Amino acid sequence: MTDEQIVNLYWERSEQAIRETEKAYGRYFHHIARGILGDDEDAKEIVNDTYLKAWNSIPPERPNPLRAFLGRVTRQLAINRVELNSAQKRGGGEYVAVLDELGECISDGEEDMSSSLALREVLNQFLRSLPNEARRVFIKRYWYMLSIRDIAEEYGMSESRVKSQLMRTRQKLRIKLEHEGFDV
Amino acid sequence: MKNKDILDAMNDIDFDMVEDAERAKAEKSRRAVWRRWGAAAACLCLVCGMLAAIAVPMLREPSVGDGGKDSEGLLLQGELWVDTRERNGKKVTASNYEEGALVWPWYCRAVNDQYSHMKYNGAEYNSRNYTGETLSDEYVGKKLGRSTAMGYDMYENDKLHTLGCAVYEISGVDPERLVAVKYDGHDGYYVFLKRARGDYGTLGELIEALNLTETVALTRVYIGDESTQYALSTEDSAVLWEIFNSCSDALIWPEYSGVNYGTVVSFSVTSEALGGNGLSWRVNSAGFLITNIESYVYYFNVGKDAVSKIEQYVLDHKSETAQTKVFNIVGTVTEIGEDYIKIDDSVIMKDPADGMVFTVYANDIRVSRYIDSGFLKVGQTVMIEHGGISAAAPTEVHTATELYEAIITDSGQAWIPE
Repeated sequence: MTDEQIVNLYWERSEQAIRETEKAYGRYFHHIARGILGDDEDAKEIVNDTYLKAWNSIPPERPNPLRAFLGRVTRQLAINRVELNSAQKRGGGEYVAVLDELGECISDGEEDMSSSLALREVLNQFLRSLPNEARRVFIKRYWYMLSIRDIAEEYGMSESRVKSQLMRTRQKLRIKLEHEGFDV
Repeated sequence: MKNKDILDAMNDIDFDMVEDAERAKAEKSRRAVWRRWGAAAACLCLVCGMLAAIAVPMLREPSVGDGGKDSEGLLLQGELWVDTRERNGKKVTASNYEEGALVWPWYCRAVNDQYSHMKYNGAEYNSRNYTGETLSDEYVGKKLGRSTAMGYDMYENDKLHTLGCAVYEISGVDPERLVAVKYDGHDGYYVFLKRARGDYGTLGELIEALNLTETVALTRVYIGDESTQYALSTEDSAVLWEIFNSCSDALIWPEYSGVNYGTVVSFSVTSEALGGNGLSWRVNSAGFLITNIESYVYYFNVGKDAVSKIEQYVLDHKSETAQTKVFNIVGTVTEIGEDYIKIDDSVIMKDPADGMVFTVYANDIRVSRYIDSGFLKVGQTVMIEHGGISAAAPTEVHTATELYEAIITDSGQAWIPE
């Protein structure tokens, strides 16, 4: 079943929509949530929350592709959960380390007026300008929030290579953000 | 700006890059990943009852007689090859996780997957299948008009592609529901379904709109929740349609709840004219007909009497020999050519010396795209589904229709997914 057909089922308020979403993307969403949370049970809950979010937001949304829309939802819900967990000093996967590393790209300063839209555009440009390996490693770390070890294993790289790759990319990003006039 | 701002903004980066990072994993360290995803798939298959992964027992029924089909649905000539070699009894778990987590590159997609959307007469229609299955000319009726088919390339930031097309009637089928589409510059007709539920009030309206008595043969049936498929003749199908036609006033049931009783009889429907494979047309003990024959699910209250009649007729007339023949080859990829794959199956033989090297021709896009995309690598373990091998050339496979990643384990129970 295609995204469009699944979205149609949501519009028709058919519960089949959730089953088809699970069939098509359940494993992928679990993979995203599991990576961020580091816990299967939490990940299952987040995936279920993703379906609920889909049910409540389609309609009025007509996302295309559905995978991208709900993949982002899964990631955001997982991050929200990990923030809650870390406030309660429970677990938390790679979240704290990831945030820490991103601090290198900026000084943890005041809220500024730079729009998230502009930041997204700069990130898109920046990531597209990177060599494939650097971009993929960066996304694995800061989108999927996988551990250095998992990234090394998946890409057949050494852990030290992943680390130095990430460090170089963060430095480049800092320069790019400065250049684009962001308050870093 | 805060570090959290960057983390949040990352959420909205173009998704093709997010998917690329996931796919690259598969390309760079494919072997490890297959195990990992296979494990996840097998695990979720058990936990969630998902359909994406299938476990296949190694010992298949011997392939006897003829009746194999090639990828175009043509009967193979002559005797089928019968495999008498003794296998080592290991268990194979096969999965096609790409269907869920990955998108095929544009150039690996069938034309009706690329251009899967079009508008006709003010309504939107979608391609009914995405694997390039075409509709025979005999089902195509008069030309209705022209349109422009559209599709998105997720590898190119959802770039929009368009292609002109002609829209045709499917003989006897209401074009308000289904039409045939012929793309400019391409041969063949493709079935498109309207992107909205049908406005049916009764079962009779559905039967008439889709010309079901002509377009669907009720010849493959399951009893209750059994997994054995039985056969019925086309004469039986005609009688069953008479019974369903006698319920043409059965009202559509808008609510899902209250009709979820046990299945009494379930027909597996494959209809070329409707462009559907393995669709369901079933009746349950509460007296309802439930079908996804149009992809959307409809419920009709046909009544318990009609269900009893159907059940009795099926029980009296079914025969035992209806399983669709699907054969498989499991083994290691030893060579990848432009339009073929060589597979050595010694890994599943009791005596590895019995292993054979099969040349599998990539006549079907579901196989060829693994070659074209570069996903498939020498050394990987795969399972091929095919429709039979000719006894005259036992190492040549011309009927392959699916390729799965395979994981071979000593037994189903001993292997615990990570």
